[in-house]
Amino acid sequence: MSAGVVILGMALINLVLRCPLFLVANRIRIPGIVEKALAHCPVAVLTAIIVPFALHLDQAPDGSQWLNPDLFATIAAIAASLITRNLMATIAIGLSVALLLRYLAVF
Amino acid sequence: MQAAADIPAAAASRRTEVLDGLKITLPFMVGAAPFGVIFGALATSSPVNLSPFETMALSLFVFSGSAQFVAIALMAVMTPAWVIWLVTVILNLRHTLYAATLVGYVRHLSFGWRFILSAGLTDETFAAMEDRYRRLGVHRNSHWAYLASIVAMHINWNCWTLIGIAVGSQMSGLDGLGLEFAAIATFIGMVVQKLRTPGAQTAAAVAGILATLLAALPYKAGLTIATLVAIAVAVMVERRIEARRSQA
Repeated sequence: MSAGVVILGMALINLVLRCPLFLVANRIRIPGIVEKALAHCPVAVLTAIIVPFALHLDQAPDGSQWLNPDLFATIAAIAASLITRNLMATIAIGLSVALLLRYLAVF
Repeated sequence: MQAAADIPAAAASRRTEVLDGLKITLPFMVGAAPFGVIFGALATSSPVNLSPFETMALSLFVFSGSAQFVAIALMAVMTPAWVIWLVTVILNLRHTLYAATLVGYVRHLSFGWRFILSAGLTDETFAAMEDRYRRLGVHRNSHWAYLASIVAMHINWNCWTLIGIAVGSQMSGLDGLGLEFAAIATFIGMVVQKLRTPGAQTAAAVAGILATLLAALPYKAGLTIATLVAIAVAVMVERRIEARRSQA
């Protein structure tokens, strides 16, 4: 099948996943318990993205590459966020550590 | 969450809202930039070999970094279309959760607004706007900040994809430098600032541990499972704390 058809299908799937709830928003009410649960959605999703990335589980699901530059960059970014409370400073410090450790080929 | 009638009439101007929407999105734009370049370069070079037109179509109409990367990896090995679509569903199921989290803040808007604000929703705009709504609540022009965030992310992502296509194979070492960490750093900055309650700390701990244990599941299915379980456990912990407080 051509790439165009694959891309069109992916675009439609993304609309179907993203849009329906918003489109019926004026007719539905989210129950209180669900609303409380969804308040944890950002922290849960983002942490579930961050930790496997830091441990390089995408490249090595068995965890054999857990000791890597991104792990130390993650620790540096967490420290930077705690100290500066500033998103740009967190990016700058975290990214610097990630680039520097690779450049120095520490691992 | 607020109903339309509760929304304060006195609110910031559209211009102020748009500028603030851009301001809170800027760090995420920086984080997404390396991914856009790498995506454009990878998609147009061997073994994927998409045309520049097809590559831009992915960034313009799918507009989902992780799904785009997985899709080109699968296209390179001649995966059937239905598998790529199934993977797209699994990868982006979290967008349904995002919509459910934000739905109370957009309820009062017109159908057209709700369509645009949902169709353009990404991890980054979700993180930025969820935080903003929680801090500032809903005001008359809040959705202009949301729109600004979406438009900025979209233009940013497509410009960097285009640059990636242009530099193409000459930049083959680009994905080994560690630039991908920029996007993860924005997520870390968001999460760390939210870890102030036992519920949030529980959600983070459970999500991190489960995502690690389930990392071997295909197509990042572990991401969705870890998220749902983490949310459930966080709610249970909060309920237990509340129950203990009311006993004391």
